[in-house]
Amino acid sequence: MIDIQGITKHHGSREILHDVSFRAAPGAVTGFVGPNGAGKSSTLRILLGLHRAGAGRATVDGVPYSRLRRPLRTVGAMLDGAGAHPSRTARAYLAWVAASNGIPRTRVDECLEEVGLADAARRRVGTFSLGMGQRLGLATALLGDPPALILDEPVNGLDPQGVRWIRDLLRRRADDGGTILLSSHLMSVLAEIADDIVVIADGRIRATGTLNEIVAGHATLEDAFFSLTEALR
Amino acid sequence: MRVLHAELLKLATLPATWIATALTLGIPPLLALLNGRMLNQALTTGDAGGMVTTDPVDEGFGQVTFGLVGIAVLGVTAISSEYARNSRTVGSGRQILTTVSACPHRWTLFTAKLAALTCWAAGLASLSVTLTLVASRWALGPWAQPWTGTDWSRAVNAAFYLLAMAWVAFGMTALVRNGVIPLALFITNASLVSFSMLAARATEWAKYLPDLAAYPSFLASHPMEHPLPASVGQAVLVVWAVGFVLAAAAVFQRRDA
Repeated sequence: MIDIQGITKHHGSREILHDVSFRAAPGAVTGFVGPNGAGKSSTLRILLGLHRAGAGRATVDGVPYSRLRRPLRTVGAMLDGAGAHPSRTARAYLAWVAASNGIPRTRVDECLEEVGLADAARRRVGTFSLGMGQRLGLATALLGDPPALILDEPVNGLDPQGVRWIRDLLRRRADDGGTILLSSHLMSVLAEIADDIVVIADGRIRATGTLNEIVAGHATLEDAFFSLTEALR
Repeated sequence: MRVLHAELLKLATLPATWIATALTLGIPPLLALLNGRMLNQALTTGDAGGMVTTDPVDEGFGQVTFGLVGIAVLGVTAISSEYARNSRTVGSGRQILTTVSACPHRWTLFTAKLAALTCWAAGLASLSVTLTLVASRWALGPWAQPWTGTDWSRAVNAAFYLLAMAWVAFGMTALVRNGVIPLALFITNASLVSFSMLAARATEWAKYLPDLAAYPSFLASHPMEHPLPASVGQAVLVVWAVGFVLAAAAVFQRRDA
């Protein structure tokens, strides 16, 4: 269970998150949707201990991320594609990530294989395409075989095959009891993957519910999203 | 230990680390070799040519200071690589996001980073000083001064100078989160135009700069008329290094990744 309660964050005098609260339940894919700059990435960064909140509490299975001893075995995350230095090879990058959390080295090649990058293992990350970078980011998230995944815009740059692959991967992991929190501004993709939806705009949560509850009365998730966010402007 | 292992792996798989290693182990011994040969020739023939001094007392020790070029590259890139942004085609990500996600406890992370740098820099500094002094003595041939107990402590102080400067470079870069300015500063200072030397001509306070403060602990000659005593200079160098590292640690702990 990912639980975010009352998160507030300021950049200077500007409030970028206001009392953000929602949950992502095990066994479901939770879609975190909002326009660019709505506060999705900031919320996820606070959840992962990368940024500090002004107020509120974010936990994974009741524990703040920063208190997890080997966090990658509990939560796999992907933000901004692959967080790898461009001059390092994909394998060297995953090797240090694995070492940092006591993950067996064998997982490196397994994950590269799983995301379809086995042939590019010795290539420098700086030479990767956007889609390959996204796949490497996913390999990083999967490295510790964690029960929870937090993915920020994971389908950016993926071809239709890649989108289908990630959809199936996330579905499978959720069906196995995993907790998946997935942010995107691509409504059509979220509508296909998500069970639950959290809508954020201007740093405030606008709606939470199952996909059917959110879409109710609208033709598509996109229509529902615009009616929820524009009505408040 | 897991995090230290990861940080050592990071250093070992970063091409810049090997460039730094090659520079630190290559430049000073090569210069010592060239200078030693010239000095040997000058003392043998009695023709000083264009040499400023023919006193062999600082031979080898003087060339050690050029190891700062490689040491600075190591200290700077050990931390600036965390903040280097990937090209937009790979998602514009920075390594620091993965690093802090993998080890969210910032003190542990910073300590491991510093420890990994210290291991590498201490090894490099020791090896560089050894190679430089051996090259110098070999090139000087019969003109090499007898090796004394003082020379042992000069050698250790010279290696410590390089290590402490790695800490200064690391701390400074962690504060600004960008390698360009510290790298330009250190490389220019150590190779082309020494800002420290320019400052030494302008003010007596220049003797408190980390390099000028450390020189009396391993060099007999000094660019300033009244340098600090060796032990005070060493202490000043330590204050610079510890100051930068502590300031960097405090900022690293508080700042958003």
